[in-house]
Amino acid sequence: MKTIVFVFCLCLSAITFAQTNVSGNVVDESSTPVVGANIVVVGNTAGTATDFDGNFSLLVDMEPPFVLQISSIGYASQDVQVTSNNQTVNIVLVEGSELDEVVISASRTPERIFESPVTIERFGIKDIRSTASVDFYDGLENLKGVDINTNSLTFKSINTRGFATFANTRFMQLVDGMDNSAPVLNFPLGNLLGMVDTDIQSVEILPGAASALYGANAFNGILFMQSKNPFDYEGISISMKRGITSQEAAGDNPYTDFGIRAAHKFTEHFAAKVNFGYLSGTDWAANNLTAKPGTGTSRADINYDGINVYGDEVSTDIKGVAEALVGLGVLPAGAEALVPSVNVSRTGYNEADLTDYEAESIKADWGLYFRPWANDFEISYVGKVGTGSTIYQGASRYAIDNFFLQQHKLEFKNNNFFLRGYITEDRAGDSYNMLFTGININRAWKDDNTWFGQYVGAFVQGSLAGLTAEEAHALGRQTAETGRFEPGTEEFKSAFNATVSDPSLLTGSKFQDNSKIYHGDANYNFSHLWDVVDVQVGGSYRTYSLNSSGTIFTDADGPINYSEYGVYTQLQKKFDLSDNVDLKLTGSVRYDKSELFDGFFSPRLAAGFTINDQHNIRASFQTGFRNPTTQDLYIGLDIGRAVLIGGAEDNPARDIRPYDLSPTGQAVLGAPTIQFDGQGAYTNSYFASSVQAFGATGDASQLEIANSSFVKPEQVTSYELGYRGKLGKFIVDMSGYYNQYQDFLANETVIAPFYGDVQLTQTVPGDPNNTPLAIAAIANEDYQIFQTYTNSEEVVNSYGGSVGVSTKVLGGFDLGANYTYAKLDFDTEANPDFRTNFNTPEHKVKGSFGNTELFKNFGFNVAWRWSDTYEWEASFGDGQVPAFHVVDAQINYRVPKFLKSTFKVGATNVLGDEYFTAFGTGNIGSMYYVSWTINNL
Amino acid sequence: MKIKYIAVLLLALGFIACEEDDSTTMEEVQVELSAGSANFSNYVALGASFTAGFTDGALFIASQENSFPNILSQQFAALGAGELTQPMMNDNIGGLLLGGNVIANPRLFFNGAGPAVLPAIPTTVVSNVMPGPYSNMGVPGAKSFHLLANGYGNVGGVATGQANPYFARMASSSNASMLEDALAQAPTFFTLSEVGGNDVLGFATSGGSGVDQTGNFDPSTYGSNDITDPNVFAQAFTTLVGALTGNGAQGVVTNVPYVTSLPYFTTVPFAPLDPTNPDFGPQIPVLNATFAPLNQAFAFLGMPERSIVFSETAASPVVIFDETLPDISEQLNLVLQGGGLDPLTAQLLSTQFAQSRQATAADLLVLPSSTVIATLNEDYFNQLIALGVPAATAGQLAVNGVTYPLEDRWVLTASEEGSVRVATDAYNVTIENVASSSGLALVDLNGILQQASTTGITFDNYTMNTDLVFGGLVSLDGVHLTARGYALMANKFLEAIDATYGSNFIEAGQVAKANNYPVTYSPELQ
Repeated sequence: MKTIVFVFCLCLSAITFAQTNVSGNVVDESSTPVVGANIVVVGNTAGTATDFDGNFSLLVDMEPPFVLQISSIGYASQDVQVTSNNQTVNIVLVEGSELDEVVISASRTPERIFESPVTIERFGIKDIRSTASVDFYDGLENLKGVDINTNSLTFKSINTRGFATFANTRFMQLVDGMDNSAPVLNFPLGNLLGMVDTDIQSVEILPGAASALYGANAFNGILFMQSKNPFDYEGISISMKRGITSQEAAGDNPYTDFGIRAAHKFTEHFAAKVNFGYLSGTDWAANNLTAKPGTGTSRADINYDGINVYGDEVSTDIKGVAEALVGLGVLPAGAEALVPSVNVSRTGYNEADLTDYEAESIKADWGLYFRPWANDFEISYVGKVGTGSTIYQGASRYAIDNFFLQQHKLEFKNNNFFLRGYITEDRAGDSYNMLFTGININRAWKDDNTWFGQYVGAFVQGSLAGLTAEEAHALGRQTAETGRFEPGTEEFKSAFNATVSDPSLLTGSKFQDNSKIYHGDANYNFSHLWDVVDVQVGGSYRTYSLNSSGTIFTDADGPINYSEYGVYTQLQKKFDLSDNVDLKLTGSVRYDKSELFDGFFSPRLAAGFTINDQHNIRASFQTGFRNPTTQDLYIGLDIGRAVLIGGAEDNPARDIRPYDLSPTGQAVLGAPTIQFDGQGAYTNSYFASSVQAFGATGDASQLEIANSSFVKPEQVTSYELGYRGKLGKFIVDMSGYYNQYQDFLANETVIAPFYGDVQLTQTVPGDPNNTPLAIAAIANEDYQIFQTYTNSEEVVNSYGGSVGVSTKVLGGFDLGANYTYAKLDFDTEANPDFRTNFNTPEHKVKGSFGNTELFKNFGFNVAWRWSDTYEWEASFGDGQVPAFHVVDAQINYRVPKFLKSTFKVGATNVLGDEYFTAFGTGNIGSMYYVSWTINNL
Repeated sequence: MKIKYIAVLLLALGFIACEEDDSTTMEEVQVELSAGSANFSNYVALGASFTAGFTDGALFIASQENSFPNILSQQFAALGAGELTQPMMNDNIGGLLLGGNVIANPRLFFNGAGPAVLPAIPTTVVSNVMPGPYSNMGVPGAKSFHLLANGYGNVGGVATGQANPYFARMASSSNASMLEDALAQAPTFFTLSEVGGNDVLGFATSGGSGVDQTGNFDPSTYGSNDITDPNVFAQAFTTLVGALTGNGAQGVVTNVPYVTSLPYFTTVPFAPLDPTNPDFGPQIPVLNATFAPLNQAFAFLGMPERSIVFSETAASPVVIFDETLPDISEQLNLVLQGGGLDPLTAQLLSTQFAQSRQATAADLLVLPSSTVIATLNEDYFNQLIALGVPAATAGQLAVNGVTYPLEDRWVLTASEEGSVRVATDAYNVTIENVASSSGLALVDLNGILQQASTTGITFDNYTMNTDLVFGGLVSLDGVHLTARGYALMANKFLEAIDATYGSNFIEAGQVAKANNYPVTYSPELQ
C-alpha cells in the first residue's frame, strides 16, 4: 500500500491545489447542536458532517468564493457563501422537509431532492432511527414505489417498477460505488452481504432506468448505499437487537442482530474504520404442501407434486413403464393393458427435512483512508467479506449455506473525480439446491427405473390379486417406497450429505462456484473549471471470470472470461427563466460495448422547472439496457427435464454430452452412442410445444422450427413526468412513468434431434416411405430438450406512478402516506407462452404515523402497508399472492447521557396475519424485538 | 426406459390434461343430467351370464354387485330410479351345491401363474329358492328359447338338465318362464342383453363337438352344445321384444359378438410344440423317424397335407382330429402294410391317423386344451395295452396332440368356426331388424369385441384388450367380462341410450369410472 501511495503521490505532485479551510457550527432554532448535518460544497463532492457538538471543519481545494450547502434530515437546507480562507460559519437550521435532503445519485453530483431531474427516494439516518421495521433494509419497503419481495428472513429482494423475480437481475445495488451482486447469480443477495446499520450514512433509490449514468443493468432501478467516512464519523457505535421471529410453521425462534462500527481519525491524513455484523435467526419455514396445478390435492393423489415438497417432481407415465418392463421380460407380455396411462410421481421430502432453516449473516468490512494533503483528495482501500445462510428461490429453492462473497476496492478521489477499481469474488460454499437434494436422495436409495418398475410390478400384481385401482396404486407406492430413507435416520443423513456435496445435478445438488468480477470506474466533474455548463465524463470497465468447474457454466476446461466497457458524459445547466422560475436541463449519454454484443448508446434527457422554490415539475426521457446475465450467456446445466444452454455464440459448442442411441439412431449414425453438443438448440431445433402437438396429432406440419437466436441485451425506454412541491402544510412528491421493453430476455424450450435437419430435407436412408430423418429421430426419442436463452420479439409495455404526501399534524406528529400504481400493458392472452414475470400489485398503499419527540427523548412510529393481490410468475412456480395488510410499530427512548444510547422496542406484522409476497416461499410471520443502539444518535 | 421426470412434454401434457379436467368439471356442473324421453323408474334386466354378472367362471356376491345392470342402475339412480334387486349368491366363493354335490365350481383366481379354481366349497344351495321377482333376471347359460321356456326354473329339472340352477334359485314358481317373471314386474325400461350368445357358445367352447342345428326348428331336440337354428332364434327374440315392449316399455338390446374372438379361443396357440422344451425337443428326431413311413403313405395316397412333421427350429402345430376329413383307415392300412409294416402296427396307425392332420392358424384350440396337450391320453393308453401293445410303445403313441390327434372337443376347426360365424351373423340380422323396428337402443357388442381384440379399446386411462388375465376386459375364464369390462359395457349401454332416447349420461359425466372396478378378486374374499 505504501508503494501505491508513494507512486500516486509522485504522479500528482506536479499538480497543486488551492486550499480553503472552513469551520463552523450548526444548531437548530432552539440552539441545540445539529448532529450529523451534511456540509457540502455546491457543484463539488467535497463534504463533511457535523460532530456531536454540531461543529465541523472542512478543507476545500477551491479558492473562495464558493457556496456551502448545509443540510440535515428534517431541516431545510441552507446555502452559505464562503468568501475567505479560515472563515467560520455559524448556521441555524430551520425545520424543513424531506425534499430538502441532498442526494447524489440522480446526477452523480449533490443536489436537493427537490431539484433532482428524476424520481429519487432517500432513506437517511433519521429514517433508520425511526423505522418500525427490524432493520434499515426492510425499512425501505415503506418508501413509495418500492417493492420488497421476501425470499427469506435474510434475503429480501428490492425492486421498483415491476418485472422482478428473486433473481432480480434488473435492479442494481451499489455499496459505496461497488456492485455487490454475486458474479454467479448476477443479483445481490439482499443485505446478506451488505452493510451494517450503524455504518449507513444514507440510502438512495433511483426507480427506473439509469443506464445513461450507470450502464448495463441499471434497468429497473438502483439502490445506493453510502457508508460513513471515518474522517467525518469517528468513534465506536454499536447496535444490538434481540427478539423472536414468530411463525405458525416454524414456531417462535430467537433472533439476534448485532452490529459494531469502530472508526478513528488518527491524523488529518489517515483514518480507518472497521465494521462487523452478525445476524442469527430462524428462517420463515416454507411448508406449503398444496399440490402444483394439475397434480391433485395431496400425496394421496398418485401424481402429487407439492409446492414445498421435493423429489415428487420426478414423474412418469406408468403405462410406458409397464411397456418397458414387458419389453425387458420383467412383466409378462400383455400385462401393460392392466396399467393405466397416468402419471405417477415419486414420493418427495418436505422442505423442512432438507434444511435447518438457519438464517445467518456474518459480514465485516474495513477501510483505510489516506488524505495525503489533508484535503479532499483521498485514497482509500475498502475490503468487505460476507458469509451467510439463507434461502434463495430461483427455478428451485436453494439453501444458501456459507455463501461467501468478498470485495476489495481501491479508490482515488477528490471532490472532482474518482477512480476506483474493485474485485468481487463469490464462493458458493455449502449451498445446495433443495429440489435436487430431494430428487437425488430418492435416487440414492432407489434409482428411478427401479422405483417405477417396482411400482408398476406391484400395481399389476395387486390388480391380479383383486385390488381396485386405488388400492393397487397404494400397493405400488408402498412397494416402491421400501427402503426409503426416512428423515432423521442415519442413512438419510449420510445420503443427504453425499447429495449436497456432489455438484452434478444428475446425482447431487451442490451449488459450486467461484466466479469473479473485476470492475473499474472513473468520473471527472468539470464544473469547478467551467461555469457555463456542468460537465461530467466517466467510464467503466468490467471483466467477468466464470469459474464453476463445469458444474453451472460451460467452463469445464477453465474459467470463461469476457469484458465490457462504457463511457458517458453528462451536461447540466440551470437557467433562470424569471425571478420565480428556474429551469434545469440535464442531458446524458452513455456508450457501452461488450465484447459479445454490438455497442449501445443510452441517452437521458431531463428538464426540471422550479417555481418559487415551492414547486418543481420534471420530465425525463431515458433508456436503459440490461446485458444478459452470466447464466443467460454461459450456462450449460442438465437439470433433467432439459439442458439449460446459454445463448452466447461460443457457448453451445462447449456443452458436449454423451447419449445412447435407439436402434434406428444406431443404424443411421453407425454408432451406439453420440456426443451431442448444444449447437443443435440454436441451429437445428423445434419448439417443444410443436413437437408435442406433432406427437398428439401425428401431423408433421405442426412442427415449428425454433433455432433460437443468440441472446442480446434487453432494452427499455422510459418516459417520466413528476411533480414535487410544498402545498401549504403538505409535501407532495408524485411521478408517473411509461416504460417500453424490447428484446425481453426470454427462454425457449426446444428439441434438437440428434440427426436429420429440421427442414426435413434429409430422409432415412433406404426407407421407401422417405421418412424425414429428423422425424425418425423424434419418434425414436433420439433428441435432447434444451432451454435456450434468447430474446423475445414481443414488445412489453408498463406504466405506473406514485404519489407521496407527508405533513405534520397535531403539532409534531409526522403523518405520511403514499400510493403506488403499477400496470402491465401486455396482451397476455394473445401470447400465452410469454411470461413477463411482472409480479407486482396494481395498487399498493403505505402510510406511517409517528413522532420523533412525543415527549423528551421519546419517539414512536407506526407503519402500515397494503398490497393488492397479484399473480406471481416465476420459474419455481406460478400462483396468486393474496392481498395483505401489514402493520409495523416501534417506540424508542433516547438516553444521550448514557453512551448516547437509543432503546427501541418494536414489532413487525403486529396484526399477526401471515402473508407472503411470492408464490412458494415461507409465510412471513411476526417479529418482536428490543434494540439498543450506542453512539448512533 | 427413459424416465423423463418433470419432462417438459409431460408437464405440458399435464397442463393440458388439467385444463381438460377443469372443463370437464365445469361441464359436470353446467350440464344437468336428463333422462330425455326414457323412463327408468322400473328397470328390469333380462339376459344370461353377462347380465347376471358372471365372472372368473362363477357368480358370487362381489361379481353380482359389479354386474352391468347394477352399474347401470346406479347411473339411473341419479335420475331417481329405484334400486336394482338381484338374486344374491350366498358367498364370494361362487359355484353351486345341489343335493350335497358341487354342480358348479367355485370361481377362478389368479394364483401367480394363471387362473386356478378357488380351493373352497360352494355354499349356495340351488334348492334354497328365493322367489323373486328380481329386477336382474340374468340367468347364466340361458339360450334364446330358454327365456320363453316354462319350467326352466324347476329345481327338480336341474339334475337332469331340463332346468337351469340359476333360474331355479329365483323363479317365482317351478313352472314360470324367465319372460313371465320379467313381465310380472311391468318394467318401464329393460335391457335384453347377450341373447343368442349361448346359442353358439356351447358349440364353440366344446370344440364344435355339438351339432349345428340350422334347419332343425325344434329346440326341444337340441343338445346343450348345439348351435340354435337362426329361425328358432328369430322366433324367440321377436317374441321376447314383442312381449317386453307390449306395455310400452323402452329398452336396449345387444347383438351377439363373434365369441371366437374371446381369449377362450385365442390363448392357446395352434403351434405350441416348442423344440426348446427339454421334454419335447430331444424326441423330435425319433418322432419324425416314426412318422416317416406314415408320411410316405399319405404321399402315396395323394394326401401329403396330412403329413406330420415336427420342426427342430420352430414351434410345430399340434396333431388334431378333424371329423370333416375323409376316413382313410382302410387305404392307409393297406399302404402301410405294403410298405412293410407289421399288420398290428399298420392297423393301429391307420386307425389313429384316419382323420388327422396338423393344425393350422385357422384352427382354434380351446382354453382347457392347454392342460391336455402333450400329456398322456390314458384312455387310449389303456386301450393299446388291452390290445397287447407294450407299455413303452403305447405310451409313445398316446401323447395328446403329438402322437394322438387332439380330440374334437379341444379344437374348433376352421369349418366349425365358420358355423359359429354364420349363425352369429344370422342372429345379428334379426336383432338389428327387431331393434330398429321396435325403436330400441342397440349396443354393438360385436363391434366392441372386435375393436378390443384388434386395436384394444380405451376406457378412461386404460387400453384394454382380449388377452387372458392381462387384457383387463375378459375375466380369468376367458369368456366372461371382468368388473372393469362390465363397467365399460355399462357405459356403452349409456351411450346407446343417450343416442336413442336423448338422455345425456355421457355428456353429464354420469358414467362408470374404470378405476372403481377391479379386474379380478382376491382369493381371501370368500
